[in-house]
Amino acid sequence: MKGQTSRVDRWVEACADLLMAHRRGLMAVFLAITLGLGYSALQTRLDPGFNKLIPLRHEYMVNFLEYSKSFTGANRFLVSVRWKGEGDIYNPVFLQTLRKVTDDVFFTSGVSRSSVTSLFTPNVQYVEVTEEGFFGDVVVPPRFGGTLEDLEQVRNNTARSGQIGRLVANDLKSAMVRADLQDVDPKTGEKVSYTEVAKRLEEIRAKYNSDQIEINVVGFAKLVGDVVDGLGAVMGFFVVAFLITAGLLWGYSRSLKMTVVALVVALLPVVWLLGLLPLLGLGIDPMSILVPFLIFSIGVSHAVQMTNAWKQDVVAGASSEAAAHAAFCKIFIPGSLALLMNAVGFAVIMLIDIPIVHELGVTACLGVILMIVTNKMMLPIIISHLSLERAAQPSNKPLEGRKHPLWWGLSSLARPGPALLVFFTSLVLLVVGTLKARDLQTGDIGAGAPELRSDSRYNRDNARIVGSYAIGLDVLTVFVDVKDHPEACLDPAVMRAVDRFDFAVRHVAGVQSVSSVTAAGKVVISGNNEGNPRWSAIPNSERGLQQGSRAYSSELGMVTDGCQQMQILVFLTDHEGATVAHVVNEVKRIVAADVTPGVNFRLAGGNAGIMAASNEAVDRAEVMMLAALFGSVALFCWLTFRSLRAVLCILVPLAIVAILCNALMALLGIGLKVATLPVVALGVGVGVDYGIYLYERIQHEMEEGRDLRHAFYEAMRQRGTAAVFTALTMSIGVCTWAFAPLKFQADMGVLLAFMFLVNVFGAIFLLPALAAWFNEGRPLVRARQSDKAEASTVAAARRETTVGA
Amino acid sequence: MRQLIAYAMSAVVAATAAYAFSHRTPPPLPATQLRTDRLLINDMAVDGRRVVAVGEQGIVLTSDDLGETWQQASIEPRRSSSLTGVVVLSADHLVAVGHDGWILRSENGGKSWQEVRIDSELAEPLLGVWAGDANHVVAYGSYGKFFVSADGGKTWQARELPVDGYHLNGMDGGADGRQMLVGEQGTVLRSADGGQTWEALPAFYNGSLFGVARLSTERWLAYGMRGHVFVSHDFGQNWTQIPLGHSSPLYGHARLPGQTGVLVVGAGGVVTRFDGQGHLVDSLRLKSLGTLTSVSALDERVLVVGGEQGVFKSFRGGVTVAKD
Repeated sequence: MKGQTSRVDRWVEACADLLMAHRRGLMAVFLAITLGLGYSALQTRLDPGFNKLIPLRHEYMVNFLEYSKSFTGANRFLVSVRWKGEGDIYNPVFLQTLRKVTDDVFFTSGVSRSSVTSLFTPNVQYVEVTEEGFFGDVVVPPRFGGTLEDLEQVRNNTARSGQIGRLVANDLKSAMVRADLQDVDPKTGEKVSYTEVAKRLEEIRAKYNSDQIEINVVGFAKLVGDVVDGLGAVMGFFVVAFLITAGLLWGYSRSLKMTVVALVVALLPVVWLLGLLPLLGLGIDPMSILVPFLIFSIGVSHAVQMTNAWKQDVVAGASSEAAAHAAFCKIFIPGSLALLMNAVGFAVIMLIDIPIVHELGVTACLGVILMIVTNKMMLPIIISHLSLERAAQPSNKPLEGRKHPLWWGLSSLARPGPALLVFFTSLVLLVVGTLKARDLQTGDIGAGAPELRSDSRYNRDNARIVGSYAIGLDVLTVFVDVKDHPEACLDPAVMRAVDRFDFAVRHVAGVQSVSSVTAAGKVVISGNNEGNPRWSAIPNSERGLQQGSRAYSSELGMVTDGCQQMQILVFLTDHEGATVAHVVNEVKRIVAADVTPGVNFRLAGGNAGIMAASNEAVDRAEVMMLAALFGSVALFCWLTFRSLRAVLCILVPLAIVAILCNALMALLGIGLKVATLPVVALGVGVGVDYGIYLYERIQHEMEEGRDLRHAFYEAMRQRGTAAVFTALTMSIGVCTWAFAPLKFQADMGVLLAFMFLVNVFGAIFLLPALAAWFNEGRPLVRARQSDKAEASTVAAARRETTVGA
Repeated sequence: MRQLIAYAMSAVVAATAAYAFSHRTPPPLPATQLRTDRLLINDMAVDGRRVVAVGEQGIVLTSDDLGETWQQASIEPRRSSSLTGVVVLSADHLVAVGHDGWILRSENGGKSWQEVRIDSELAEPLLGVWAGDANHVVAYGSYGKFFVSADGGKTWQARELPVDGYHLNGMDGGADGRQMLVGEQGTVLRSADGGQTWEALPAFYNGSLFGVARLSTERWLAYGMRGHVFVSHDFGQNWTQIPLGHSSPLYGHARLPGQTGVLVVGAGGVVTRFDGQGHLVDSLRLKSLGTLTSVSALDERVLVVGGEQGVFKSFRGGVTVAKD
């Protein structure tokens, strides 16, 4: 092991020599790359796509994409016009406004015009059973003039249209316009831009909002628009994080030069990454927009380690160039290893089978690998040209012959006795954390759009609409695939199977209502029999079913021609993970318990179907991701340190922190979902840095012949200050996201801040305690017999003078 | 050896982590059970203090606490045909009818039911059932279907009625043998001999009638589409329309306790009360219950209504019925 270590040392030293020898040439190359990629970065575009959010290979989503060719309506939006004045909606002012809003929606580009539905559109008719028979007409008569009689007629027609609760609120205080978006605008032939539609809807809101009228808008397009707006604010957070980091850096280093160098070097991989993305054909989406932050934070962390090592040597009297050389030698291996760990952490995120998360993994992985170049190669070259200001010189330098009191006190944890205290505290945290972590739920918690905060405009609109109308916006679509039954809508076996399914699902907890072709068929059959509700059933004969033919039209969107494919809409009370999982499980149970040959019920579409698939994908990925993460980190650590005890010293604190992270999520009511699952991987990937940096020093110092406590003290003195500082910097940086308008970014920010901060505690408290007991009996690291000082001439010399132990 | 403490610590953390990240089941939601507010109820009957309600998917519900809680009855065999009518023959003996010509009997107050008849071939609905006494039962329905049973519903005979294939929607009668049937497009038939012979009455209304209630030997009340209620004071010879002021169709009725009148219910949660003379007393709407098909007036205080939103209990406080 000894020979191998020194071989690596020699190799690193050769690299350092090479780097320093060609520093001018290399610097020119790096600068050219930076300029090139910086130019390319200007082309980076925002790329929020609907399909990126879907686990495309999940069985539900395969069905969903297959059936979405037959059934539209997935991309629906609702504009609710609310009357705030006296009385109900049946007054000329309100109806006039509703008519105008209907027209404005109708003329919004990208809207499928035939889908626009409101009291004013011809596709809404009232149906009346009269002595003469079944009779239907438009709700608002064409010659509507707003007279009292007209209003009374509209009121009666609306009541008979069955639209109360659907197009008209239950309390008769609002009415809505419903419309579907097309994928491609037939006029321009281009993809319909959701942000454009959202902007148009916001214009409609601004135009008609008054002290009597309130406009509420919900729908996927509007949601995308609001999320994109929220992303604009992210840039502001980047600036805030940058300023906070700059302030902290200056406070820490007392050196303007070192502050600027660390910031510039941390920005370099961000620029390179943003420049590479367009070249690789990738874009930035709402989730991966956080990656640049993360890369910046990690970049600062590593820059601080490097400049700190450099400074220690400069303070000790070495020249800038020699100090840069020495810093490269000391930092390159643990630093690159730590960055590789980060890369592994980000790479395992790709195990989650959702494109948007894949991209997050790819982007982050790429960024970290770039950092090995910028941080480990460019930085030494830059600092080799630097001279330290006087102001920065005396700081951080312990008085002659005295030990740093804080770190020396902390190093007593590396003795078996105090270590037991750390064990006890860790075990208490472990137990409490584990119990709480079991409460963690997969999926969303709370109402409204999970991407946005509950008090956002969109979610307030959503709450208003859900509260006023009987229909919800959380839909689980079940598809029916019919085989061997031509004209399935006239086949009693098929229709009764669908009817039984409708009935059974209606009674499941979490289901608000069910909409199916049989429900519509029963209304028509009953209507054809004097409107008698006792006829409202699915007949067991083709002749009986023919009475309901009007309901089997493919234009109504529930069946295809010939009824070979149907969709059943299950409206849910909410989209919390527990509700979605319960309903999906019950649907599966109901389908399995009532099998009709040739009739195949298939899950699932609608937003709840997508959530069910995502939640299942997340659930499946969680264990796999953690196993892959800890497995690969353990392997890398073992390859580096060649010691099981070292691996355990580094991994055990990480495991506890990962559990605590889950516990914190449960505590804060954050669900485990696409946006929060990567947090553990990111946190562990970044958190392993501290352990590696510290353990590498401990190993080094023990090889020099020190006992564990002194070795740990030295490690803390040389690396600990920088580690704690960077943990603080990164935590505060990501903590600013907590104020982001997008909820998932806020969740990620809080969790990452927690992980970054607590990881460093694990490394400085639990790592030495574990090492203390692993060191009993057989030393953790054997001291080298022959004193080979060549590896650290400058540092060793300085240690003699500063520590003098 | 002392190293073992560190290994033990690591092992404990590893084991706990494995447990902490093992599969979690979300907090369970209430198990699926029949929701009595999410099914279509077509008819109700009162057996002593027990209310029996029948509806879609062959569901029968019983309640012994005036509609507070409901139990689902067992039916042998289970079918998904809708039930449309239920009647009490004598204590604990009931008959229910429904779609596909389905007829069921119960001998334990509606707790469990046995199939007597089904016609899956023709698969046309029966729409109601009426009992003259413990043995004589009549089931009627679509396209003039008319079945009689003389043995408490065990065996049934089909009868032809002069109704030209119109649906028969409602029937009432008394121990004196005077009975009346109403149906599609103003169809009204009467029988004075306990249903042996039926006489079609001249049409007085071109819409459909959904029910008929006998107030006395001579006084009958028929109701149907669009808020139409007619009263006859001469066993159906002459009919007068009672204006209601609303045009909601009416689908079911129940006699108030003590022969003090009838309640007629219909679309839009309408509950309309007539006194024993056939005069309109009052009319109100039970908000947000949708279409009502049936009602039971158990005692002075409590009404139970059924309809497209299942079964509901309502106190008189909510349904202001004027005192006599």
